[in-house]
Amino acid sequence: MTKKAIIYLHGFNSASLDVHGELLVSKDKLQVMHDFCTQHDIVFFTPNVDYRDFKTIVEDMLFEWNQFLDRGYDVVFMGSSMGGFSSEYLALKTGCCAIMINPALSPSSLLPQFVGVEANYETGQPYQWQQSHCEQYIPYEQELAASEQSIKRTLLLDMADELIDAQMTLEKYRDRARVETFQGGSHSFEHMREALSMVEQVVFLESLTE
Amino acid sequence: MKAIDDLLNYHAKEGAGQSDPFAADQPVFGQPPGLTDVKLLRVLTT
Repeated sequence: MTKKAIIYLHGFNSASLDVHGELLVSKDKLQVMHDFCTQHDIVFFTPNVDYRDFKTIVEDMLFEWNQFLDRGYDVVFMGSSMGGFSSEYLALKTGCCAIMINPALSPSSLLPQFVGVEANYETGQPYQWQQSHCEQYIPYEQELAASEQSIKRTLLLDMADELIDAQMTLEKYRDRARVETFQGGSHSFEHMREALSMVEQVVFLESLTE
Repeated sequence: MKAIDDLLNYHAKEGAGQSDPFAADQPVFGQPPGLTDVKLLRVLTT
């Protein structure tokens, strides 16, 4: 059986690893994904990324994608919020599957409310978020919107997301993605365990059709 | 966008996919395959 890898990207100004490079197991969905991947012999690659420089994120993740391909892995891109947006873009570029958790629909519109943020929510590291960082996303959003290429998307939505209107997300993707909705929850997503069967399907079934 | 294009075309180049850039077994998470220490440091500190 082909080896499997998930490249998982965290959300805006968040982190997957602490300052020592250890997985932030206090984040329930990361712990659940880590356990799931260990159980199924899937490499779970979840670096910290800096959304002030999206081009570098894309380049770094494509580099990793190439490394995994070199070793015979099937790769699935997965992420939460901004990580969901990133996963969709990387899936567009690579043809891989994307699992998007409460994804950011339009970072250039969503992120200006965070201008002035001065520290990473998870690690506490000093951080400056500026308007120019928001605007860098416009061409990527336009590229996604203009593309007629089929993208293998799976969306996981908590309908009580307090940051992004889940109903709007549902309307946008209803006809072009497999969407699994969960009542309640929040933007941080509180149904990772319930969503694992869907993740398993994507990793072990859909990626075979690439 | 040249770097992105180069990365996307990597597997179309002759010889690509035949190298073995991994010296050790895969970690479950943390340091990714092929990521240099310098690069990892940048990822973790930004």
